Amino acid sequence: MSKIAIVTDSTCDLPNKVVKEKNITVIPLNVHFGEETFLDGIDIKPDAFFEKLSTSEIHPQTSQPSVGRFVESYEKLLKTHDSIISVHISGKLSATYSSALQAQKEVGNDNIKVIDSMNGTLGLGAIIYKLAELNQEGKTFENIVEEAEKLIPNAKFMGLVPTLEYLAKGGRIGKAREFIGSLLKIKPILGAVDGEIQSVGKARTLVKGMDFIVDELKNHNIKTLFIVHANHSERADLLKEKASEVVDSKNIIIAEFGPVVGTHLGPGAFGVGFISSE
Amino acid sequence: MNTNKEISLEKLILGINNFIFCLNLYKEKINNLNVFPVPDGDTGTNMLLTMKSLDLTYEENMTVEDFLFSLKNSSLMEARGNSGVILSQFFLGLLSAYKNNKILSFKTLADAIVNAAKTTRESLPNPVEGTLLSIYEDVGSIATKNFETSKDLSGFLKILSVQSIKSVKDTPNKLQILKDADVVDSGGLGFAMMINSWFYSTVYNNQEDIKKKLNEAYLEMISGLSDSVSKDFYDDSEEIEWGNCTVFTVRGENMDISKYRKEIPEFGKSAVITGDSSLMKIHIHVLETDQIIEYANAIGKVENIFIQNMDDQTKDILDSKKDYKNINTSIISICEGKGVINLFNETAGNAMHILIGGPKKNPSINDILEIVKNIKSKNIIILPNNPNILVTVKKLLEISDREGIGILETKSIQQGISSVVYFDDSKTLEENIKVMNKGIASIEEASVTMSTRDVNLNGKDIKKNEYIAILNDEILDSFNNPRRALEYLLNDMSSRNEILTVIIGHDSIEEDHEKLEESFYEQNNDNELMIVEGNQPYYNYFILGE
Repeated sequence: MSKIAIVTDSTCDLPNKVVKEKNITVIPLNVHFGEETFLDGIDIKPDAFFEKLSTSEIHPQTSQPSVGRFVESYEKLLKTHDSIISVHISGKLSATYSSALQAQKEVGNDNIKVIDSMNGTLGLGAIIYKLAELNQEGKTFENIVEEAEKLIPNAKFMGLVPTLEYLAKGGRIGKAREFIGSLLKIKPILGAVDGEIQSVGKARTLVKGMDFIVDELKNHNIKTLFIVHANHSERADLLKEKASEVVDSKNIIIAEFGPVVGTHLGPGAFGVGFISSE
Repeated sequence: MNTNKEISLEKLILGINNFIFCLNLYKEKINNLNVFPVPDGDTGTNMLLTMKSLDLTYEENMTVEDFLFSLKNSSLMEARGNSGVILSQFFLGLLSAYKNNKILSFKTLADAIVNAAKTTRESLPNPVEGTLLSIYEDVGSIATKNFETSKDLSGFLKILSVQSIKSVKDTPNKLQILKDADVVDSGGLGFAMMINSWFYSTVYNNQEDIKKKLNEAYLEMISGLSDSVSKDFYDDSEEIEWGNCTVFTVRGENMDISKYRKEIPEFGKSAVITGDSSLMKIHIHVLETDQIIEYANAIGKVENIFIQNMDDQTKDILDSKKDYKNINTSIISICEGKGVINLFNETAGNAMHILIGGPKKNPSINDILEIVKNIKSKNIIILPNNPNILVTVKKLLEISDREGIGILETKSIQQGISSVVYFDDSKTLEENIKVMNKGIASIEEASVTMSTRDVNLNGKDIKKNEYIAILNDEILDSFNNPRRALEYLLNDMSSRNEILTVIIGHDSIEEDHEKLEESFYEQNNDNELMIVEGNQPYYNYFILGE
């Protein structure tokens, strides 16, 4: 039986425990506070990051992993694996996918498949989770690649941010820009649509936003639901309580936004990721 | 007197009917040009309504003077807006010209226009060139020069028509604001169209031909300029408070009109005082109407009071300049107050149509139908925002056969605003009604208003002029000032709501609300307080808890 490595990047925001259990390789992006650089989730964990975010005068910036880092990881993995399936954050949100593609050419091995997930955070995480499961079940390289292409259009992410300030600063706000400065401070419900951040609904309060999301969950057949928060576990717990009407709470996994995604969403953000009609 | 130069009463009535015909056709085009004295986009409408209200009944035993007298009276009584009042000067002038000449002739018509110019100049405290006044003067002067040499009515009217077009084209050179807005004077253009329509009715029998010629005259007048006041112009002028356009008549005996012409302009702006010693028509823009009406009551019997809030009107125009294309579902929100209108407009953008209405100002079924008729989108959602208006809207649904109308049963502004947040034009009508209803479901609403009489409610004695705090339709308590009532409500509601939105009414707009925010955040860390201006009448505050 051939051995396959499932690779993703740190924007998948999957909890460490899941990463270990499912044998997933996560390539970190970088977070920069001025001249200080941290490897996402390795040099800086969410708790420390949000603490630094609230106290630092410098607003952090993020960057994709270098081609070299990908080359290094791919070459190392190919010593113990026959092939690699490497799925990443939407190319419209980050240059990570293009780094991975270049690395694949550099390594020059046809057994590496690089895929754009058209998604991010737990939208990407949900895809990876499912692929890792298939891998553990012993599916073939071709099977898993084919399955990945099917999962991409069905992977969903929805979330809310208390303020749009962080998305705007990081240049990732997309079409949700129209909500900035509205008199009633309307909060858009953000989703990944066609690989970009778009507003899929709106609410005036975070609690009503949660209700919107839970209502939306009812339209999908969901096996595993990921709930993710930025340094606000009470919100995640409340959302879990509401969502357990729709998804068995045993199948709800709570995760945290990592520093890179957290840079762009800001503290207090929360959301859900899942695969529709599994 | 050469009888060829007599104008029969029949021909005059035919002329007036042509005036109405052309104003009907050009009402909107004239409205679009309206920029002076207030850009409220109603010149064409006011001219048409004034003409339509003329008493044209003629009975066998009536003399021409009787007929012209009732024409003058009806025009003075019913004249609407600045332009309508100035238009009625023509009929005032016609009666006095007839009295002088004892016959309806070319000369009488020339004199009537000259008289109209003269009384218009007298009736305005600050006559402005480049308006209908200038058209009256130019056309009156050419008529005076030509009534003797003109062979027939058609030839005479042709000279007047040509001059009227020329004068209208010259208005931007005389009045800077027209030049800035890149338009000709709307009232002047309206009058020129009237003269032209009379002229062409003497040349052509076919209405299509007349329409064609009128279009040529219209295009000639606006050539090289804009056919409507640009949205930018309205945006720039949005900050100005225009107040209320107040029009009424005063009936009395031996009224000294020249005295009132001096005194009345002190009350406001754009005053027009016209009429005679027995009937005066007054048009004025004032911030508060009470004082001028009180003053007029002391002169004589005040009738036909017509008050229109021009800030709301100006807002309507801004609405009509919106891009309504590509909208699937439009919303009609019935509300009043500049800030409240703004909240609705901003929240639903191009889908939002505003109809002015509220407590004591319930729009009629026809008012709503009129808006519905003009909406091209597939679906319409109506937000009544008031229990009485809700009843009217429900009746409308029974009689209208237009498909795709839905009512969201909002009984207050607070409900209206919290529902509209959830509107999404990419959703179907049913889906929108569902999510918008959800938006209302869990809100708390409160308000502060002044009690208008002594009452006992729920065992509480409330005195007249005290401020009552109302929460979810229940009167909680009364206070001697509105701020205390507001603080009481906020304190009560803050524990149960994530966001409290305070919408400040017209009577409390001047107050400093900054301290209120400070003290709120000292006591509440997790909740949000938003304070926005609403300018709504009757209610010092609306509060929305979500």
